[in-house]
Amino acid sequence: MPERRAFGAVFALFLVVVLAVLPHVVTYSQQEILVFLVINVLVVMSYRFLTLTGEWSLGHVVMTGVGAYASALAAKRLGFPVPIAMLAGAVVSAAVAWVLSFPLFRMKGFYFLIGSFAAGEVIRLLWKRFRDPFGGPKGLKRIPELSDIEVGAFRIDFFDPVAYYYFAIAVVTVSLWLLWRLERSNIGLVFNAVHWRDSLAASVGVDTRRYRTLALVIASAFAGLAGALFAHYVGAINPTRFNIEEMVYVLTWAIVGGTATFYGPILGVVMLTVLNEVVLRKLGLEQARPLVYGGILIACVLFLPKGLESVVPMLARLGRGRSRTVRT
Amino acid sequence: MSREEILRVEGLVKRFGGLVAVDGLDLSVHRGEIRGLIGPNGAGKTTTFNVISGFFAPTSGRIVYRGKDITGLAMHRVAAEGLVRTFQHSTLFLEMRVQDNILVGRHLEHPRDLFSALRHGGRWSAAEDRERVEEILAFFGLGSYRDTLAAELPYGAQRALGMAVALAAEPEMMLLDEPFAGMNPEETRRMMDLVAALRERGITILLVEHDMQAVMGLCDTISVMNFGRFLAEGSPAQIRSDPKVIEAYLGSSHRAA
Repeated sequence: MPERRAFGAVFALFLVVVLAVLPHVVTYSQQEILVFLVINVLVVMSYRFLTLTGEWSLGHVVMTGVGAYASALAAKRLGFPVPIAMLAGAVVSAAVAWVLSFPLFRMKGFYFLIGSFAAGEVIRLLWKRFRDPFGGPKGLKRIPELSDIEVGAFRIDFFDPVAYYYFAIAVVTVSLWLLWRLERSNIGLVFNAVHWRDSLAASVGVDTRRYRTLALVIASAFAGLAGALFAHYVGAINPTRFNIEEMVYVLTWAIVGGTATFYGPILGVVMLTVLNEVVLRKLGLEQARPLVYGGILIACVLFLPKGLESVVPMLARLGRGRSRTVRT
Repeated sequence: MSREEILRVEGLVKRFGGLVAVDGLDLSVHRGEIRGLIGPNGAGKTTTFNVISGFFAPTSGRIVYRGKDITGLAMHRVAAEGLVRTFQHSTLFLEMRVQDNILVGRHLEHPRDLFSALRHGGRWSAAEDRERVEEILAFFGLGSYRDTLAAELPYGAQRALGMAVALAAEPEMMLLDEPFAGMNPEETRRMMDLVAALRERGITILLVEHDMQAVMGLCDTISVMNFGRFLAEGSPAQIRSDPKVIEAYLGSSHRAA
């Protein structure tokens, strides 16, 4: 055990260094991609939180959109400071999810999946239909950005992707820590129970609908926060940004990475983003992203049904086997 | 005999479309007894269980538990009243460890809220959880399987775990759905001891079972159902020699001829 703890500490330190240095060794456009990657980590991780109860939704990206619109409007129309507006975005997203839970959790499994898609499309149509306040199909523009921080001679300008990257990393790290704590708590245990046998859970007093709602609301709150991070960085959002194609990308990250472990979806989103933005871009094939993603998804379902996360213990075993042979 | 009644079922009817699974059943269970509910296949025993435990709402009729009308309450509400069921076969949280299965059973003991969950972080939020789970593990002889996945347990141990999860909810009355199904004689004998020991703890038991030897050996009173209706009730000896019961199971000699 102490050996394992030491390994964990070294790994964490390594991760911190890599994350800190990374934006300084890549190009400007790659710095922007890094910001999106960090935000997408929160999108897919909040999605995984929902799947803890066994329900898969097709409306999750729309919930990021709810957070994005709410945060943008709170800052633009109501004059909220951007960080407060972002929190408001998360709260609105959670509230919308809570309202939607009443019709949606009359269904389970496949029906919930389709229902969540329909609910998401309704929200997107509302954004398109109502120019005031949502801006119609063109969406919202000139969303206030995070204001600069000035402390004496020190000045942080969040228009700079590197500065926003660090800000996003901080927000996402705190969010992931909260999601991790919840998953490891007795509430997370009940989420698992609802996932594996909801009838047995109900037989010992678990209100399964309440726990499903709780997971959906929390997942949507963090999705909304991710959307708010996106909105105030890009400065413009529109309904198309939150359509089903984006949802399919999130699903692909989750499935290719695997959802059984906490790190699975992170692996998925990081690997596929690197593949898309570095490998395909170099080959000039970035337009082929849907094709490549589709191919990878099929290959993954066929040959790696438990996702990339299942490769990690395999590698660990391989590594341990090798070190043992070295020792003897 | 003026023993206290714990559960009363009045005129219970459950229809599935055109099929009448339970057709006006009356049943009364006393505190502290082991009651068997038997009947030929399709007599409506399991449906009766599902309706009492809140899995289905009844079409009509009333269910009164400890003087309170619980008709149509959802399963988790029925459990909160102290009436907990088990399931047939290996209905467990199969991908979870044995002790975590039992820990979920403790759900009713302390309501969970987000802030205490964030503060504690762990699954074991209260010291008494650990004690109680250990005690239940010992009671069912599952101590050595503590960290085993429920899916990997031998069959008999899986059935015991199903009862352990239910017991963790601290019920006053348990509904056992075919507790001996698929067991060999040795497992059946051990399970009978466990059920008897549950009663010693003051838990009232209502069980549905096909293993006649076990039912006769274990139950104080047996109620017999046929075609969704009440047929007979009495001690094991009375039921064994009741011509109506024999006819229901074997058919009358006239029709057989």
